[in-house]
Amino acid sequence: MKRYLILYNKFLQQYIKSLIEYRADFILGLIGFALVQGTNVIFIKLIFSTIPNLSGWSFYEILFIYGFSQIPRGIDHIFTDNLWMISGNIIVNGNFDRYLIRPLNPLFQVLAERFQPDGFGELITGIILVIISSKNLNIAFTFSKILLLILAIICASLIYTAIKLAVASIAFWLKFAQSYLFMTYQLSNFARYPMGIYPNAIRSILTFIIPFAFTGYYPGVYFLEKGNLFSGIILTFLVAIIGMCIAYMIWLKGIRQYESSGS
Amino acid sequence: MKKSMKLKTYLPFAINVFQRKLSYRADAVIFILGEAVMLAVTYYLWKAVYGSSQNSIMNGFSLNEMIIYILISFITSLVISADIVTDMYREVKDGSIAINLIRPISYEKRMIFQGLGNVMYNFIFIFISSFVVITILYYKYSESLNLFNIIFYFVSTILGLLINLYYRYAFGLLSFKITNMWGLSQMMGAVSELLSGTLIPIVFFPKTIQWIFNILPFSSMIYTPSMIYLGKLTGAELVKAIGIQVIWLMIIIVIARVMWNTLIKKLTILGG
Repeated sequence: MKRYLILYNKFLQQYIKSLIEYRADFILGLIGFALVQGTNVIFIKLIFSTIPNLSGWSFYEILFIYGFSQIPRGIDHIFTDNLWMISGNIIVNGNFDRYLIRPLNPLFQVLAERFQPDGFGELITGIILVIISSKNLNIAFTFSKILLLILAIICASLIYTAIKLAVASIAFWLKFAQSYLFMTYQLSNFARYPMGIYPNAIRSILTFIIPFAFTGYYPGVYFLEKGNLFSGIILTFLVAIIGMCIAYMIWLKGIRQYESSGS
Repeated sequence: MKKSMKLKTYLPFAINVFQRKLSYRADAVIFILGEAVMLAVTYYLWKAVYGSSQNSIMNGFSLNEMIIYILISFITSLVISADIVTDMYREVKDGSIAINLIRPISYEKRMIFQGLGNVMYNFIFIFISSFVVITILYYKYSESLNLFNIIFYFVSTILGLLINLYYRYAFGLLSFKITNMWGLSQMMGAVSELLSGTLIPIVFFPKTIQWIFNILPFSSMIYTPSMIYLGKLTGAELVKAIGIQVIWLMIIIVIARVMWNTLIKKLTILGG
């Protein structure tokens, strides 16, 4: 474990060196993702200029759920962006070999290889929105609640990673799975609004099959004091653990399936 | 004579892109399904919004019209978009642009035609069928069909398409100077999504801001054709909207030419 931490640090240092060289790109990427967030907030604001509440949710409540959902999204984006490359051309080009010949966990190598600071755009906006909306809603954050918030964010980030890992692993069989990963990842957009506005079929998919609902809505409503501890935190925790186990099993099965390309 | 020569020279670039996309058809369809997920989110959101409102009409849109608006602006944005920025940026980055600049063909026309190849693909495989479905749906909602609106929708969409292609080409030219365009194109993507009216009709913005939108080119790309389709622009307003599109097209072509003349001198080719 300690060895892995030291190694991750080494990888990160290499990355930061390249970051310094491309400083403008780093800033542009950050602004880019923050702007995407900005347009979504403007969208919510414009909708609320025509109605007093949305199916019983106030503007700041929606903003809280939205902001909360962006924090795990950003964290996952920062650390596991290389999974997109796995789903892309790494396998078809036979480049996956290099992860298998080093005496390190292949998944660790894949994740450590790329650090994506663009995700900070989502993370920072998410934090700002959560702070602004909890101030306006007078949500009191006690010490134990802050601990639960951190736990919920970690679990929600793991759910993101689990879903991405499971779908990216399809590339071991299909060689190219980026389109599937994109489609699945897009489903996370449902998590930014209250589940009540969707029909039952969509709600069940997002709860039981591709559990994005636990990355935003369910933990979000717990902190808004509209949901209970069980569905908000405990289920999020369980889904994260189970999801991660299933995803890792698919990944391992995929590696066994992997055959390098010729040449 | 000269015109047909030109077409013969550049058409293969369009066909090339078209065929490349054709061979990855399954992937292209899944990518679009992914985009359509956002459409579903927006649909249920608007349904909830109209359900929470006392008025059945908001800023001139009924729920049914809003649904048609979301669908038509989605397929309009799909059919006019072509990712030439990535192509241009990749050529600069891997150095293959050097060999392409030596060839006796216009870089601008080559890129525009490559974009048109993309457009052809989306038009044939997605646009036609979805357009028919949307129009049937629209007919069911409004029980009338205005052929005039549909014809002008196509005129306006073609103008929007050309504005978009030249805008993207001009934007792609920045890669001559900026080494990594990814962040920048994310940024521009977000801005144009908001300003072009794909996210929400521009009439929902405060009046003062609408004025700014009208002097920017983005609303000419998707918003104008979609509003014409819905019959929300008629008579003098319609003529004015199409006039603005024509003016924008000319302005952007001029900007692109000026940018080309300045940036070609500054092009740094890495590797290659």
